Amino acid sequence: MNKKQQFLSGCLLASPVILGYIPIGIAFGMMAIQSGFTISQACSLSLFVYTGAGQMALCNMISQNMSLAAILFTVLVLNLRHIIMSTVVMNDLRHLKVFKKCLLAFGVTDEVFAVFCLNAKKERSGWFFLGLAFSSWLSWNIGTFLGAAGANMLPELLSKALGISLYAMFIALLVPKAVKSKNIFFLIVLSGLLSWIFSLFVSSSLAVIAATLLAAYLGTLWIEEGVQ
Amino acid sequence: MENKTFIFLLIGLFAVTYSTRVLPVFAVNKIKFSKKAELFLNLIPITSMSALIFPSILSVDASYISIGLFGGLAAGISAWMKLPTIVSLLISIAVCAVCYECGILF
Repeated sequence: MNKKQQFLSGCLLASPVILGYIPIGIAFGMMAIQSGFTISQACSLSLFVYTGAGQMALCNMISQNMSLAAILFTVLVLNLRHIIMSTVVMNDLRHLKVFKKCLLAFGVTDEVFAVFCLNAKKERSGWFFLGLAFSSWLSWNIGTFLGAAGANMLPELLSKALGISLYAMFIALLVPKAVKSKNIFFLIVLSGLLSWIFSLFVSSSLAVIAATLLAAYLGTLWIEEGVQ
Repeated sequence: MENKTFIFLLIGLFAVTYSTRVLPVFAVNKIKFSKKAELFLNLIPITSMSALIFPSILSVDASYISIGLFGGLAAGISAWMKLPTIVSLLISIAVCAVCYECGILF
């Protein structure tokens, strides 16, 4: 595949992410307006910060008049998982020049990472990642603009039902892996269980990080084959 | 929000978000991953998605567990039937809309 084909294949595989990001972006745009941001401020957040869960949490914290330091710390904790994800992506893209990697690193999100990793290893090129990350970023921004500009215009039923998108996407990505391998099925169940147990004691974002790391470590103890 | 305050907030948020993403660019060249470490990293997407789904899917609607339950089941069954990801997603959204519309709420 040439560069253009790799880029387009990235854009194409981003379609489930785009379908998830536009509605969630719309939801964020609406939330941002309600918590006192202007339309251009809401859009700047999506353009330059670009972290779904963090931006949603930001709206909550702004509404509660939390201090700047507390807001930044919370968003940092929410983003810690990106260190792991970016490490995986950069490991696959290690042949690229540093400045290119710095640019591509901006596009690492949960969903982009998931699609990138579930794709065959030999197809994980820089151009492929660029197509995937750029179209996802663009859709998040289009969603934000639509939500901010048209706040309160989406029918309530639809905006409520769209809340499931992110989870539905993760499930649709995981099920085929679970069907293929019993080990992976058990790993999925274990991760969910750990996340639930931890969430009884610590904040849910911390619980997710702890469960992710512990389950993956435990997985290395009984899973032998490479997982692609 | 006042623009001056917002600029500080934006710069701070950019810093705490981008730093976690760019750090591995500079760390990864110095680290060589063993087979076990590579397996660990390969398992991360599976465990992180699973941990993100459960238990928070049940509170996708803070008042009703049924929305997350049926929406999740719909996505799972569709994916199990080997439907494309986008189709599973749309079926799941449709099931949630039906739950709201028909009052399947508990």
